[in-house]
Amino acid sequence: MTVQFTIDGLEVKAKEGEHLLDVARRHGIDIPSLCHHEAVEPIGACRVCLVEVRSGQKTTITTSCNFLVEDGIEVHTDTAEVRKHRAMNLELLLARAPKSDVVRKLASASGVTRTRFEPLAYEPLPNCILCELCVRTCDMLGHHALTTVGRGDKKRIGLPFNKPSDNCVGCASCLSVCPTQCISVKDTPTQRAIWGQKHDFILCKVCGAPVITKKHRDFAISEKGLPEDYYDTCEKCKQSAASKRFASVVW
Amino acid sequence: MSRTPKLDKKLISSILQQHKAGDASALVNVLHDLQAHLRYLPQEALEMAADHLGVSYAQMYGVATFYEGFHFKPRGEHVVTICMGTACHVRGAPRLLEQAERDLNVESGGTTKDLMFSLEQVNCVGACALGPLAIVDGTYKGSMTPAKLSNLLKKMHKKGKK
Amino acid sequence: MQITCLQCVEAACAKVCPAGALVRNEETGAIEVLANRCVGCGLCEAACPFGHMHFDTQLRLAVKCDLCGGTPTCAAFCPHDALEIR
Ligand code: SF4
Ligand code: SF4
Ligand code: FES
Repeated sequence: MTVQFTIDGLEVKAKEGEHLLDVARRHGIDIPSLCHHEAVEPIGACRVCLVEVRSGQKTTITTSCNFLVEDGIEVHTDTAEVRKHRAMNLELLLARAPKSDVVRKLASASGVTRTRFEPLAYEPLPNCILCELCVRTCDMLGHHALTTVGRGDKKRIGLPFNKPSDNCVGCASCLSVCPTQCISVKDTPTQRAIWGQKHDFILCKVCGAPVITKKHRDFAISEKGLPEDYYDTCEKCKQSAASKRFASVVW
Repeated sequence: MSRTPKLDKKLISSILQQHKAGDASALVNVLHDLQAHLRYLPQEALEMAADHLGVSYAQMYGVATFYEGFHFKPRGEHVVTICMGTACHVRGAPRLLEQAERDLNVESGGTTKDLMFSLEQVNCVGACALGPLAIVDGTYKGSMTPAKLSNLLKKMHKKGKK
Repeated sequence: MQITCLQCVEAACAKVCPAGALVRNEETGAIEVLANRCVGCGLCEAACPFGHMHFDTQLRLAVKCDLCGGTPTCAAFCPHDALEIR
């Protein structure tokens, strides 16, 4: 079923079950966000994507990433109330991630350059804002290595019992999606160090360059039913092998 | 004699069998049951429970650490809890805690090396009229004094050693 | 010889992508990276049999030829009109 409503005065149509933030972005209306990623379900953790939703007599300030669109609502993305609450949330986030460029930029766009709150940053993820994008992504990928640990001001992102996890394949997707890029990944030509363990890379059969980690390959091959030698060579050597094949056909 | 509860995989299995396999909604109940029998939640038990319920081990651990009531290190045979609620506090609960810490040689939240006692504090058990209050293995002991507590601990210690 | 993306009918990159971030643009026929869906796992890079998937280590995203949205700049720039888009 289609629903119809307005965002900042613009008439928009969307499918029932869609989330407000996605619909707004599709219509070119930007709402800042930190914990949203299209590949995973939204959980409304960062509280940056606030909007004002008017429905009949009721006006609420709510997160747009996990707000299901409704017929006839009137959405405002940039009211004084929205700005005020977003600024407060960003000030709180600044206490968690004082060194994150992304958070600092968003904060200063909201007029927040310093925080009155006690720093809550923790090692070894000093700029973690607990958005759980890493956890959600790792789960979506089927690895289930990460989790939140504890709660309240002691909440952390980590591994069960803080021990290296058999489930982690070293794909580093958790770092890729992390808004503050706070997860430590160290690559050498042969190994990747992440989440307290070292993963061996497959080395290209031709040139010896790292391809992906062995564990990641094994997972992908069994998951997708790929041939065993699928990741034996790197993309550059695949490119040149393919070129030679083409050339021999053309000339 | 070591008091470390030996990991009994058969026992863990039998606890798990009482819950429907694949029923993730039983997660917290399973954690409670496991802890009731094992006194803490060892890694292996969480792994087996996760398998049984069809949730990930990481999620199992995440949920367990959300609650203050679950423990991940072996705990004492006896649990001594001091109520630190306002009423108990003004009636001298801090002195009870200090006494227990000294007698048992552990800090609040800790467990003695011989695994005989775990010492804890809570923020109020709602029995303010009885305060100051010590809860020993689930039994409420009202109008507690440091001397009485000390005696009680000594008696329990002697009994346990036999 | 350089080979650019063949926009394969059965694209290996799209097949291995666990996030559904590689999809065909029905208008241009190109396989495109939906940057907002890509989780940067890197599986597609070495999956392409022609070595045409790339992983941007700065952005931590997959990048590839999307035919510049239907009007490839490479074809327009070729001084000898050797590149033609059909
Ligand atoms: S590197 Fe490990 S923890 Fe991170 S997403 Fe991949 S499997 Fe999960
Ligand atoms: S590590 Fe990054 S992705 Fe994970 S919760 Fe923290 S900020 Fe979010
Ligand atoms: S993007 Fe909506 S709460 Fe983070």
